[in-house]
Amino acid sequence: MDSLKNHFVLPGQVLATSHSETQGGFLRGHGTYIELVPHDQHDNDDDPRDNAGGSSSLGGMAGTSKKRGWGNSSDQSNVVMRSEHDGGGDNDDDDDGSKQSGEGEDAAALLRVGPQRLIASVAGTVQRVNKLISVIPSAPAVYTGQVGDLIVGRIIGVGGSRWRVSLTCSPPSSGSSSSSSSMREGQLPLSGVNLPGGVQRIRTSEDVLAMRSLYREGDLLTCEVQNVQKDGTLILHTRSLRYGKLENGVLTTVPPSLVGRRKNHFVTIKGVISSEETNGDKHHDDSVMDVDDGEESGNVDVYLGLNGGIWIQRTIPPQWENSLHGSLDQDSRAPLAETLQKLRQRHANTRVSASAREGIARVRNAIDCLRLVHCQITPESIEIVVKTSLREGVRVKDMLRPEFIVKITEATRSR
Amino acid sequence: MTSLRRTDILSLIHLRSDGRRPNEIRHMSCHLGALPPTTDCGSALPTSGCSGSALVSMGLTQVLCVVRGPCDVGRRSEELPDRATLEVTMRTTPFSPPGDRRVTNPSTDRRLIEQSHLLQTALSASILLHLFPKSKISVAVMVLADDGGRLEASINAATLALMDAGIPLKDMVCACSAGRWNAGGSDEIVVDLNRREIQAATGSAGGGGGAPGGGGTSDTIYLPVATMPQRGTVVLAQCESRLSGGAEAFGEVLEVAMKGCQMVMEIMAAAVRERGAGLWKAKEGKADVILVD
Amino acid sequence: MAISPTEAHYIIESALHDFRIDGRSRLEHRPYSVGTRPSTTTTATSSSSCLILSNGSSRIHLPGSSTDILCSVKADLVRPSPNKPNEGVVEISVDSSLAGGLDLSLGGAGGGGGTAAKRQLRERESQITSLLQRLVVPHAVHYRELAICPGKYVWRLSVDIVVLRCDGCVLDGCAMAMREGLRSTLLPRVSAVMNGEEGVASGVGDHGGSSNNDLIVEGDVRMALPPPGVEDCPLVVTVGVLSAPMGAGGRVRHVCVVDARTEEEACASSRVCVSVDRKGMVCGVHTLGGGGMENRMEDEFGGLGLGISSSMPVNMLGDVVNTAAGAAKNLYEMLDREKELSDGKDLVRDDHDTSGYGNLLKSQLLIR
Repeated sequence: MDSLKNHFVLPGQVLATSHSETQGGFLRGHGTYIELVPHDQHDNDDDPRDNAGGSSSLGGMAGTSKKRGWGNSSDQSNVVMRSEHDGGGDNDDDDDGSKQSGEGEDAAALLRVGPQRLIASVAGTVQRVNKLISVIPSAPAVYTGQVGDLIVGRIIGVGGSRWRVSLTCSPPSSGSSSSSSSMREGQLPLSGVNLPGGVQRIRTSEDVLAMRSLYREGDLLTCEVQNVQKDGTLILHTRSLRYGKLENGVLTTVPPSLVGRRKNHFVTIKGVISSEETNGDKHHDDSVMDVDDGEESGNVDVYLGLNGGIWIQRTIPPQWENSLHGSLDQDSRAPLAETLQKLRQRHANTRVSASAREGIARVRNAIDCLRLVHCQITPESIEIVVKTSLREGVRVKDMLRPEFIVKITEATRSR
Repeated sequence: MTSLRRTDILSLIHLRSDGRRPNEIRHMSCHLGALPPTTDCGSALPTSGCSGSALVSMGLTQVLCVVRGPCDVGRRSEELPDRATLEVTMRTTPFSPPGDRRVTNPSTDRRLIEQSHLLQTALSASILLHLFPKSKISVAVMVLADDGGRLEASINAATLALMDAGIPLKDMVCACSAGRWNAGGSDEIVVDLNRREIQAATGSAGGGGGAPGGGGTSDTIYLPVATMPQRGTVVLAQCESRLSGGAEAFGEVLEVAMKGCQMVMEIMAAAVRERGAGLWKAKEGKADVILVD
Repeated sequence: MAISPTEAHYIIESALHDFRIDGRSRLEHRPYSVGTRPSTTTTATSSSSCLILSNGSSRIHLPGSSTDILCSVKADLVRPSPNKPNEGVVEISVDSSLAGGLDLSLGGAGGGGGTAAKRQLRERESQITSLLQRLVVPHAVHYRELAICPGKYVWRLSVDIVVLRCDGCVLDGCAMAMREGLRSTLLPRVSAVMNGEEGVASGVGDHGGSSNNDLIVEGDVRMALPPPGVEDCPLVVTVGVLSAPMGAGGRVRHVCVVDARTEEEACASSRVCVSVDRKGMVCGVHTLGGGGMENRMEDEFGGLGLGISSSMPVNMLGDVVNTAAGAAKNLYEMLDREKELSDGKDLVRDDHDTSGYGNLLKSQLLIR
């Protein structure tokens, strides 16, 4: 069992076998399932299926002279599994989403029945913590939520005093068949948002009617996983000042496995705008929006959603906050919520300057590069790619050419 | 089309028409994540929620499989309370057959429906569907080139795509075919038949799953088999010819097919390991990225 | 399909700045990479992504994004239709089932199971097919030169396009795939033996091919040539017209972008497909609807009457077509460069991958 640690295993490979007498076998972790060790000789029917099973042991053994590491399976390859066994109570499988609680008792219950074995159900590396054996797939495609995860999602439905949030950021489809392309969606209940004004109060039916004034279909937002239900549905909330609607920026998506859990998912990438960049032809139009003051730091904010959605926007300049405080001098003790609200408003309504746009596009393409080489997306790795591309003088639009992808991501690989 | 004589299948020096020995499978290559890795990424507007894909070629037969899900069923009526729905579609491209092009409609073509169904049966034996209640896993198979054995290639591709998507499987399902001829008085059992051999064995232009009837004489067998090699169990075996040799004859052919599956499994396992190792290294930040082409 | 107005706004603003969200300028294409079976010079043993059961094939692939389109060309000799006895035939079909069904009219994907969805998928596919039929096919090859023996034998080129993934501008990709597929096609040299009146008479009398002696097929692959006139096969450039209300006066600014990503497509107020051939001649124009953003934009930016809609002024259409012609020139240059590059490589290495098409669908980035 120890020898399997950090080994790469395939589905169906036996990880461990325990007998009811020997207490202290294993606990089932993610990516594994338990089944009874079948008795060596089943009563042989004349059923062709059984026949097949019997003869298969011959075929399997004879066909492979260079059998490398199938675990114990080769020893037991003359086992005939029948569907009655598989469907019955002797086979209890891992619920990948919500575990923790049931595990112990499951194992205990199974131990009473007879010898059992733990089998991998996904391809990945074995991880062992004391008795708990799990298999970690190298790139799980499906995002499984945990409480506290940051989500960058898109509203795909409003109704029933809750918003439906697509975790793949896929837009609400226009056709009749809704939400079919979205992986498990999250639910944002009305009670999970801060109502405008920032006061805590009971939600009324007017609030239910006015839900669309907060978030409408298609809107992007950041939120946090509050709870994971038994069937894997995520209950979300935005009841923190950091969460809310996303505006005036760019979304890109990556496989969820590339965004690791970290302390802070709101990160700032510094120095993304090349110094020699001059805004030659600035378009000055009469516009509904104010043109940016130009007092920009060259920083870009990146929100790393654990579901794979990544939001990129310019960093709100600190001057704004100061000026806000200045104008609000008379009641400088305005609540933080309001200040943030105002800042956000200003951000949404202020046009992004050309240089900031370039920075955002550069970060966006850097994330795409990292995705293409399957590299973990961290602020450090983004920064490395951005810096390398700046140093090498790679234009933003060229960053996605294969030869440049290899070049500018090189540094992230040699750490 | 059956101008081929059966003696042509195995020449006197025991080589088959394409130069293989009787117990050799065709050149097989597997490519996990053939479509942009675990997609719905790269764009803010995913065009499909694909979570795993694989391209498998066995000889000249080439099959692309895309797995979506687990995702919401969409319609309540299709929802199962205790496990996921498995939806399998198999399509062919018009250019897949080696000769003339042929347009098939997957919802009306009888052979495609049948093979989709067989594929679904084989896969549902392995996928731990009860882990995803009320959701749907859809497997879409596209036959890009068909030189016989498209069902076997599809099963292999689907297994790999499911593994690529990280969907829990009870075991890997591997498929391979075997056949038998009475060539020159002595029985010859061969593994992994190509299109010509299938035609000879079934007496018709079998698309892979074996077409019934035709001129299938009693001493020829074409038997596609899907197994779980690590358990040594059979999940699918289909034989449509009358066996003169009785049950033992069937057993012999099955045994050869099982050996073929074992070989297929080793190739598949190697591909999965390679991909897994690559991804793992990439995660650690140690992978080499090479610009091919 | 809708993306949020604020995303759309950012995208439009970016286009106004001539610096789109991925860094391109308005009239720039993404770096498409083309995989074809090497034509004429090298033999079929050389490895490039191709479908070896077809006469010609290509794969259009976008390394930085998720576009992946396969195209196969199969050629066979058929009897011509009676009303066009001395012209060859090009047939085209599009399969987009793996891409989840591309919705041309709205620029995104629907998908899902059920018979209704399947019907929808088929309708969309046929829409793409018919557009290509009108925009590209009439100018794809020199039809008269496809006739081997007028009235009796002509080439039929069946072009089958499989869209595996598409990130915006599906028609552009399909046209590119078709053009490259046709260019890589090799037709064996076939000459008809004309036994005076006799050959014609027998050809009229019974189905072609009954007397096996009237065609001579050159077996040497080096003598095979691509279909005549394939260099003139046009490409499609889809121009997305993004419009944003500017200022309080109700003025609307329009800006044209080519080769839009899906999200850009989604916020286009209208789109125009223009097929342009190598010499810069416009071969066809088709206007498509927008990405469905306009209604929401109107809501957000002051109600109706701002003039953002799928219709466009006449003079603007002229500008759009000009834009497309300009962009097409760059696209041709890009594809030629690409071709030169890959041809050069094919001459150099002739090594691994003996299986013929192991390279199919391989990403250019190999990770190990």
